[in-house]
Amino acid sequence: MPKVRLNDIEIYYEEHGRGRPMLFLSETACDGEVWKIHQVPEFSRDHRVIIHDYRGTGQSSKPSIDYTTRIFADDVVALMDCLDAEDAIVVGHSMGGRVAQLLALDHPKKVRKLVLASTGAHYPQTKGLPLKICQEMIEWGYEKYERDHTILVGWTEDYVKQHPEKIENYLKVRMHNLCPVEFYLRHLLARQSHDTSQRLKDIKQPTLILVGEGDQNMTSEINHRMSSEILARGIPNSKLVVLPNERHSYFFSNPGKAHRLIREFIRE
Amino acid sequence: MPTVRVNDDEIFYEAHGRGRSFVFFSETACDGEIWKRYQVPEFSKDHLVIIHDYRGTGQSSKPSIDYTTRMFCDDAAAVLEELKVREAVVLGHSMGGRVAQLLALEYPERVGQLILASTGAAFPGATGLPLTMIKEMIEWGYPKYVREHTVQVGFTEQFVTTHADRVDEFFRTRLANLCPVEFYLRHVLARQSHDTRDRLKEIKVPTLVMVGEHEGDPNLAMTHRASSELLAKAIPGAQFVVLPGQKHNYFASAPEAAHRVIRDFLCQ
Repeated sequence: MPKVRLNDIEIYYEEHGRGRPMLFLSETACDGEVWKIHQVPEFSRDHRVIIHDYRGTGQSSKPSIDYTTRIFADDVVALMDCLDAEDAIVVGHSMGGRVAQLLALDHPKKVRKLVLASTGAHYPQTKGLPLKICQEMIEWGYEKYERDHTILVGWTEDYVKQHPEKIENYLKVRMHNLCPVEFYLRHLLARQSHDTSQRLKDIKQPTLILVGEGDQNMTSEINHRMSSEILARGIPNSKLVVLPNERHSYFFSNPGKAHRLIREFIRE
Repeated sequence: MPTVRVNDDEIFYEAHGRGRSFVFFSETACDGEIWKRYQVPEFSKDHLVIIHDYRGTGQSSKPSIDYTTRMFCDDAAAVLEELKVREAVVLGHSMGGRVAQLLALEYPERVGQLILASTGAAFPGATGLPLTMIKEMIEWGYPKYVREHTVQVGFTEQFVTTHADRVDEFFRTRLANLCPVEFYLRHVLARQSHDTRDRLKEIKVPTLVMVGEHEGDPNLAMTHRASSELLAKAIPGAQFVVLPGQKHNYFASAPEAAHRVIRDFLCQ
């Protein structure tokens, strides 16, 4: 089992393929497994694809301390150092995009190109645990919340109706190794307190910003459509692409399209 | 049904007995019913006892907006206005004590004597929804959380063992009309963001601070014992009484002792 020891914790990772390193960072409290459905097979053909489990998720250590996106970024840097990966094309989805921004800002040499998928720079008002999420997790239970919430924000009603087997296939991976609820909440706190809104102009790497046209669920005061537009305005060398008819989880509903956009961006 | 309209909302209240007005404020997300087992019968003998349901609880309106202790204070002031109460003894338990502090600060002419029972001025550095609380509510479910948590902080193990019937009776009332979880969380947010630390010296009315000897809930950022001591030090001339052998809910576990302390204070 490939793990690296960082200070006093262990981070689980996997490497697939050879070529220019590509690093994929998952959404809130989600381990690296989800990338193995579509992205690892596609990009490991000509890249060295690196995935890992954030602390608190998957097979990594789960210390009961406050987490921040800075800590997640530091874990990734230590992992890249251990793997002798000098730099990488970094793809961050949702909370992973927040971690990716910090990598680009605080460790610019580690990031060759940046893909910020359905993410943002900050939640201006809600720094703590969002009431609506807590309420739904209490009322529905943790697993049902994660399942229903993932479907609601992830895909259009049409897609859910037409492709139930693809949804189930994704959820099988996502729910298989769901982290204990404590760490889901610690990830939420890390995400809500992340704030790079004043630093976006310092991101110098070529940046591709992706967002689904319908990624507009209002869990708190800002949705991914709005926050992606803020990113595009703030990051100098960036390009925003809106994916029609998609919501939050197009990496799993429309991987072909997402991969094509990323490959074009890598070639540029 | 006695209610008073506050802007668009209705606040439910009851008044029992005759004499000097005596107002009781309940703990977090708890309606006024809780006082009817021991305190209303005792003090309505020679007082006009006023209880009410906070917005979000009991039979009062439950608007889905952010709540603050200041809002609860203004609602209570509207009840006093409706009943044409010029001056009252004001007792607040736990979060109710925070509301009572604000009533003494914002409507000083209305408060003749102040009783702050197992309460505090602030939760420094813990203004959002507390992680441990949310985790337990998700893992245990909402009603079970309220019961388990209240047992843990409210009553000594010995009392729970020797007076199981009294504990059950308390929860029959407490859980009978449990407010929807959304409003429990809105109350917790109001409580956590309350901060009167810098204003305690302006509380000029005679004040009694009381707390159970064993109130040291390790899950709270600050225990009621510690926060009560801070109140007693900071409020000019405040009296401080520790109830031996008690935890947070001595109004249900040791009403006679609590009533004696209150009557001694009222006689002064």
